[in-house]
Amino acid sequence: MDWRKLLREITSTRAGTFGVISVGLLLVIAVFAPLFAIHDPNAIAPMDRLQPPSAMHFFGTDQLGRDLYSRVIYGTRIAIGVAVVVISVSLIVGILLGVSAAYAPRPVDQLIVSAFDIINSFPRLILALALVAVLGPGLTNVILLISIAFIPQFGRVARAQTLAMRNSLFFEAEAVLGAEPWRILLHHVLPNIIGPIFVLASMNIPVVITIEAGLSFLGVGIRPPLASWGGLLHDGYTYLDQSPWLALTSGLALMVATLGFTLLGEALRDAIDPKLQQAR
Amino acid sequence: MIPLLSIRGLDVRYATERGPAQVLRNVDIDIPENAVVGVVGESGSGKSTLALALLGLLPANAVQSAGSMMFEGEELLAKTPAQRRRLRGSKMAMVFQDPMSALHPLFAVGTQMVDIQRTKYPRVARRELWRRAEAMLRRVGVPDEAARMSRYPHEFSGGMRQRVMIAMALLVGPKLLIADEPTTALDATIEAQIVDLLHGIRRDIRGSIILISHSLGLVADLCEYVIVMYAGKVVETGRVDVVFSRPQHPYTEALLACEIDPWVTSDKDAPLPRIPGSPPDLVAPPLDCVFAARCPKRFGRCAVAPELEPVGDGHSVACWLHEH
Amino acid sequence: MIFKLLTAALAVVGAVLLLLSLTTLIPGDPATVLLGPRATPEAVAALNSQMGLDLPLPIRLVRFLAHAFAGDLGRDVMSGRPVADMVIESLPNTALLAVSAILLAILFGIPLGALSAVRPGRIADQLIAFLSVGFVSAPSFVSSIFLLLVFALWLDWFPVLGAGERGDFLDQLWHVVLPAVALGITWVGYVARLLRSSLLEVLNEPYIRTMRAYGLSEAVVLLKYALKPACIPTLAVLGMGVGELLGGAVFAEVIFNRPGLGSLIYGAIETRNYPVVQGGVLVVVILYLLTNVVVDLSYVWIDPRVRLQMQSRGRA
Repeated sequence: MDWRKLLREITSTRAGTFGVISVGLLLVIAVFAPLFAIHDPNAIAPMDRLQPPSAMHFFGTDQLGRDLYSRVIYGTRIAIGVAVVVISVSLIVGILLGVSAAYAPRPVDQLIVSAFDIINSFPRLILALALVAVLGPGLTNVILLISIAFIPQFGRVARAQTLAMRNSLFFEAEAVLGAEPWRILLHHVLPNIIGPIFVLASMNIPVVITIEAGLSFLGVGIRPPLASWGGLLHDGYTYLDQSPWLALTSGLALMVATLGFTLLGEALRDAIDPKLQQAR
Repeated sequence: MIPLLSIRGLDVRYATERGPAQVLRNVDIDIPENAVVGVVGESGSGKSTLALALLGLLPANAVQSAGSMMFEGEELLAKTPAQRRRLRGSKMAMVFQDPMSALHPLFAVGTQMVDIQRTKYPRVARRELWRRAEAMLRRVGVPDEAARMSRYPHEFSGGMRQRVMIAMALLVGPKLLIADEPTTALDATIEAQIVDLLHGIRRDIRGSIILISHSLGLVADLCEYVIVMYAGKVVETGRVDVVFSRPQHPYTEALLACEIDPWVTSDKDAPLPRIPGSPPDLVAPPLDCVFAARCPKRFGRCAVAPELEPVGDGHSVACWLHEH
Repeated sequence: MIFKLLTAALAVVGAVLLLLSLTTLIPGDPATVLLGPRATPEAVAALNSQMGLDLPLPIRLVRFLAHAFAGDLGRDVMSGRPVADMVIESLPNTALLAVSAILLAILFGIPLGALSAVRPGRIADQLIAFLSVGFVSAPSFVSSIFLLLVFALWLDWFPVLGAGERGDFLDQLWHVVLPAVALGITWVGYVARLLRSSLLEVLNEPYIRTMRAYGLSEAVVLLKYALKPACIPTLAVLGMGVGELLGGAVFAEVIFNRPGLGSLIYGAIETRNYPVVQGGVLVVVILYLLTNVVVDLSYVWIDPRVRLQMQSRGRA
């Protein structure tokens, strides 16, 4: 994987450049949030509730007088952190399940595939809603439950590739030579699925961000005082007639994040596998 | 007699990643009225590009510059795109190489055959156009034509599809019919049937036919005149019997030598004749004669590209071996 | 075709299994949660038995399916109303919303996509691309709130809340505009871009060249001969998108305070009304799978080559 060439190709379009810059910015903000936030995002000041933007409070304040700017900054951590963890978890579990399914005896394979199909028969948000409804809100629950919805995608790719490998001639040769399955997995399956998996992962990050924000917006995701953008948006909706700034700032943050990741994901896809190109 | 089509100095370049590729270079061609003219050459010689240039269907990355293209006494290059569009499907028609992909898979054959007639007959009722299409299917030998009109292209065999394409061309009664490798995508037995069909319709076409092919046998069979092309240049033209019996250009000679007729070759163990080397890179075309690199008869003069010169009796060749 | 329906039915069963087993995962006893910490053991036991939670899972599954087949999806824990009734009542509103959003996506997306494809790289194309990407990625609830803010609160062009008077279709239409736009706008962008790239590919196909070679005008070539094959992948995406749409409907209904399947499920989640959640989600899943089947069937109608495949497979 030639990273420099990849970067060059991604930045060859305006869209791709925007994606790289915005995602880079978001990542920096997420990691170094304390450096960017000016006030304590949880500091309540009832006197200053629902203030419009000012020199003290760049984005204004929320209904409890907390600094919106700082809350949005910390919200970046949650949005990106959750997305990264969710994708990582579902990626790992998905690949493991997919590869196991390909190696397992037929009934087990069928079982795993059916599990994938069942998960896929739910619209993703509805599935997350139903799961969260039952198990309750909270950061860990949200992460685990959203991951479930994304496992089948990675699982399918991993399974298909492993099956293809198993049927290929040089694979048989290696098996005859006594190579263990792990070695084969590492040397043959993984390198071939890295491309599509990478693309899948990057294209799904904005989806995860949206689902988490959506759940938090509905009150069944990440709850205050943790500053999820969705939660901020919920407050913004509640107090929409009194002050639009809550909703505007959190909404814009969400839009920039989803836009940036989407553009980056598409540029990545175009660069890695031109055959998958859809809109050029 | 004024030729039906007269091209002077046609130049076509395609923009590629490595730079512009010179696909046609300074081409001069005359197509007489009511003649069947063959255009032969290897893949990449520019034959198909020539046809597309005539019709005005060059792709977007093609840059065309030409001195002149006179069709029926009118300058094609002076016409607007709309005017040229109206010529297509009325005065000019083309039969494409691969009938599988040239017919629309999602529309019935009848629908397509009706729509292609509309440029020529814009005021004729659909029912009448349908009837004519049906009759033409019968004419070209498609059995059960009434039912077939409502079928889809994938329900036809390769040979049948090619008949449909030919029928479409006949329906618009063009003054100039271009057939681009009409039998290349078909297997031998079907090819023979289509050749018979082409013979049969010759009289129905009150115009000229340009037959593009890499098969010299086909051209010898069907055509009166032949144009030999190599790497975007016309290297020899003339009556087909003259050119094939007394070829003046080394390339034509080599081509003829390569045509294997198993019933004629006496020495079955002799290696297949071939032309050594490969066609020139069109992106960086040589300044010398296009064929010089592979020509067994090249000499010093060949460092400069020769022009097409007449050598008598309608026969012209671009080769220094025959300069006057 | 039968095969597809079978797999869909199996998926539904699986989904039901998943839903039912979810209630067993509820931390603590659901009946206690519902009735509160001061509930008597008898009341808890009674509620448990009423919700059927005291039986083993396989039996519950069979019972639920049997009932569901007969149209009985259980009863609302609070009011005792049949869940099936509640769901059916809520469907028309959601249907109106979903259909409006899809229609919007098609009515605007297809022309915009075609426009982009006709002159790729020019101003119209770039503008449409920019707007498309911007809207495609924005989450629907963000668009909903922004639209609500601008058009209902600030400009007062559209009503803020509700679905309109029952029986007054025009009023309902007026109420559905903002939510449908919010839902549909993501799809407009998506459809436009998808159609654009499909069209660009199709316009290079040999059969299009044949049509051009016979002098057909670009308009006819595009609208009649290129659009049809280009719409096929777009259709597939729309079919899959119905699922996302159903999810997005939850937000639209909550934000605009519209009654419907989405707000029904959401309300039930808040009040821990599990039968309603189960019934509602089940209906969503069925609708989702049904639309997928319909989309698959429409391929047969659109592409005659698929028709042939299906016929020959049927005979085999």
